[in-house]
Amino acid sequence: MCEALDQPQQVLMSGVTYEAMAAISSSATDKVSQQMNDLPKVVFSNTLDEPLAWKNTRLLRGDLADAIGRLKQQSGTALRAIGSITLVTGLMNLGLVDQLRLMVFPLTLGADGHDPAYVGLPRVGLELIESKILESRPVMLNGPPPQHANMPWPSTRPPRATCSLMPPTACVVSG
Amino acid sequence: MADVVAELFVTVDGYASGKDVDGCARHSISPSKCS
Repeated sequence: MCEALDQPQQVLMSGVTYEAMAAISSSATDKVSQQMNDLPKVVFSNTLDEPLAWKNTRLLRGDLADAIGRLKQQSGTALRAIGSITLVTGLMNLGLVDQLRLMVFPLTLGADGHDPAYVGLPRVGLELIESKILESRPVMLNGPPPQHANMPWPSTRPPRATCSLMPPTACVVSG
Repeated sequence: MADVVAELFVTVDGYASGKDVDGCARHSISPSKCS
């Protein structure tokens, strides 16, 4: 994951994810936390208020399509949404996601699961472009973007999908 | 125009991982915090 954080990027997250990650990383001294602290971060939230305590973080609010659409136009680096399922679902439904990267943990929650990750996502086809084992645990599968079945994606090229997962499970991204 | 890369942390059966897996999703973010 450190490699991913080495790339120029703005981290995009919801207010819930911001509060969770800021609590972990803002005062931590490990390398990944330091990288996260130094990266520019954008929080989309209509409930949080400025100023945000985690350094290099700014707040966006209002209409999601307008805010993120404008950010896409203005940003000189990739926008990386981490977690934030509600935010990502909204972005997917707006056709604003260019690449979907799934980190699949070799774990089933069964009856203990209470937060289905894919509910509300649009109907899309995914093309695998990469798979990778991360830190000897997760495997990352990376592929071209989801093909939206019901509405056109705004860009001429389709979004790509990445899936990361930890062995010994297998991840299938179907087109 | 910048690309948006959406990174989701999920279990094999499609649940969001995070607090549910005792910090192991956070392992991708902050190894020292993975229980």
